Amino acid sequence: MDLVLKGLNIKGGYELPELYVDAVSDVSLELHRNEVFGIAGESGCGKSTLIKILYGYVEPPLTLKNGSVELYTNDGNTFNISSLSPDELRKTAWWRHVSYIPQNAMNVLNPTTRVRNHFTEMYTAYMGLEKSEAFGRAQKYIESFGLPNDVLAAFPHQLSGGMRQRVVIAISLLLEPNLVLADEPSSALDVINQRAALMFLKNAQKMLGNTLVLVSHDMGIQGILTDRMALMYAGKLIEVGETQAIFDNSLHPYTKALVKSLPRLGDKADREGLKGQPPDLRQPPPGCRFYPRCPHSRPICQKEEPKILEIERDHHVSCWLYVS
Amino acid sequence: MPSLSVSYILEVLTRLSVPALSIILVSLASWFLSMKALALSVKGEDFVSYAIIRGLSRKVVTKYVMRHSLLPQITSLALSLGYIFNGALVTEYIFAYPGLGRLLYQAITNADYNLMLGILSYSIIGVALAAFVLDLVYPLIDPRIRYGG
Amino acid sequence: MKASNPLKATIGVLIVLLTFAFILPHFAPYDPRRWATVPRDQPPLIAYPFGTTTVGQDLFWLSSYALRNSITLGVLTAFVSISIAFLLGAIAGFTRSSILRYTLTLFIDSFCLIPGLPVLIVLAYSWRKYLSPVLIALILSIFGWAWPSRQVRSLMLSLRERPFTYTALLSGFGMIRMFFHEYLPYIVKWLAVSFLGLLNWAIGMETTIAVFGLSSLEEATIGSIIYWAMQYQAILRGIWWWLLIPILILVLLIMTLYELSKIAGELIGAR
Repeated sequence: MDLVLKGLNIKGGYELPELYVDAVSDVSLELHRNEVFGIAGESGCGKSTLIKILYGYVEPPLTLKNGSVELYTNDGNTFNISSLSPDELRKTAWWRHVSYIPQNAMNVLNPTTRVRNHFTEMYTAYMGLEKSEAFGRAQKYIESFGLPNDVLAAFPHQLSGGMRQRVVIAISLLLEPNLVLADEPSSALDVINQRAALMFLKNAQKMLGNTLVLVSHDMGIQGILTDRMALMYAGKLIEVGETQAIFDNSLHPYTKALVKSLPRLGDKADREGLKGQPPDLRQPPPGCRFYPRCPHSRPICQKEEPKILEIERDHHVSCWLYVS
Repeated sequence: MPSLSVSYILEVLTRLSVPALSIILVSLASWFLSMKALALSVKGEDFVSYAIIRGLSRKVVTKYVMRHSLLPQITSLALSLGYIFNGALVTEYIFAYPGLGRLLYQAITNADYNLMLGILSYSIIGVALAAFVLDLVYPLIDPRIRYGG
Repeated sequence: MKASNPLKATIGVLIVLLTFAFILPHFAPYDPRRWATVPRDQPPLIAYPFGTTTVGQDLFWLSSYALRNSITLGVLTAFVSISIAFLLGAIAGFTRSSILRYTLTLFIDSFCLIPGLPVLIVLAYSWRKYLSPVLIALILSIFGWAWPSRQVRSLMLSLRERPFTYTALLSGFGMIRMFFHEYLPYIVKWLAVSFLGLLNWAIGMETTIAVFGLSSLEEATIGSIIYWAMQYQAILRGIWWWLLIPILILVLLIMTLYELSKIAGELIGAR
């Protein structure tokens, strides 16, 4: 089966005392095998929340209000991620079939444990190996990635940020899952290390043939690395499709403004920005959430939310401009 | 007579059980509070949620949290060991327990300044020594502060 | 807010205690401190709600009087300690002169490390003929200021090094104006919480040295009631209320003050 993950009508957010933050609202998407799928959008648009829901790491105050997430593995198993508890997921799907690289990955390693212990405890937990055997496997694994051997013996604070990032990426690929969810894997690094980390991820994806979901607000990264991508705004999916199509033929006004704002070689014209801010998700507005900032708005945009429509092959958009 | 016989040791233990219990019960509360605050703050750290995400069992994650919360507690433990030499003044007075604390009180009421000076110096050296040993031992337990690392 | 229930309970108990301590003594039908005013060794009855002592005092009126003294003494100690702590700590943290900073820091840290209880006992014992609540408050203040002073100092240091200080200075704000306009509101809030903590400490400390008999024995305080109860072997003779009542009142007072300081701390922490 070509599909790796199907998310339908996902609605989730943060349940705080006396209010609910609608972080992800009615998002549906399909991920195919052997592709790099990007999720782009500004800070606060719900990308990280969506990733957590897709992984199934839903701990309070995060709640899944509606929707389903199904994972289809290479060997024909189906996991209904949205209905399983974290404990059940831990025993079945996590890390074996889907892994997660959290945001701020440089700081997720345990400061008082050596790097090799991070690997050995994974081997012990998932394959029941003895410590010595696990240690040997970890060494071979690290070498296969091209990372120096003394990384294993070090403590996390003795490594540079870029190296720690690569270690976290290596840990995520340990059991060769079908789906890897990477949340801003390079945002905290300098450009040199950014490239190294991203190339690391991309080469691993090519070698293993898995599906990589790359969440990043950096459109440049999305353009270079992803095959297909989705754009989110204020918790809603506004445009999904092949990356090339989205850049060459942006449909949604937000996408158009975003692509226009990217610097290009030789283009010295002034960059324009959109005025305004995304809406407050504690009290989301009834109509299209982009309405206050949209230069092409119509009366209906304020009243009703547009549905997602397929405009050309594998290029969907949610905007009233394309409904008539 | 003081000796290493079982009956003597048993008698000492019986005699000190109630005063010790009164001190333990009172100090337990503050240890609970600080451990709770520490464990809560450690639980919220990134590496703990990463351990959960990675699918490590609850047992392993609890071990992580405990290990991290214990580190500052060891500092407090070392310092409170140093305070042994202070003598538990009030407790020994109330239970009429013949220890350093009661000796100090008797020194005060008898205006025995030499004895007072001796006991107080003893306690200061005790605390300073405990702090010194702690400084030497701490890098062994917390890898983040190894010198030159 | 759901958190207001502990607050309401705490404030309720506090009001009860304060009424007991400050309003009730005015209604006492006799001077509670005088001996042989009521029948001795009466257990708690309607006539004598808290019972009576071996020397013929009504424990109810006595403890209300004593509570007033204890609280007043605590407040005085806390006030003097906070003032000294603030003065020394603020200078130590704020000053640019490294000599002043170093000397003051050394001074403050030394007072933190000196074992307080033995020295307090020495002082109280030497002056036992002159002990009155005011003198005790002053003696307690000698050690009470040390730890809060350390905290004020580090607070000042951190405020000074914050970016907003540099920004303000570069924009032309004078240092003195900086101090009064920006720092003071923040510090005053912190001092209020510290005051409650000091109050708790002072009451506990006074009770501790009272148990040794080193408190004001004519002016009753909660601690001195405990002392006299122990002196007259109250427990052994079955007069359990003489010891239990002051202990209960003390525990109630300290718990309430602690809850109050915790709530105040949360109020300050919540931005």
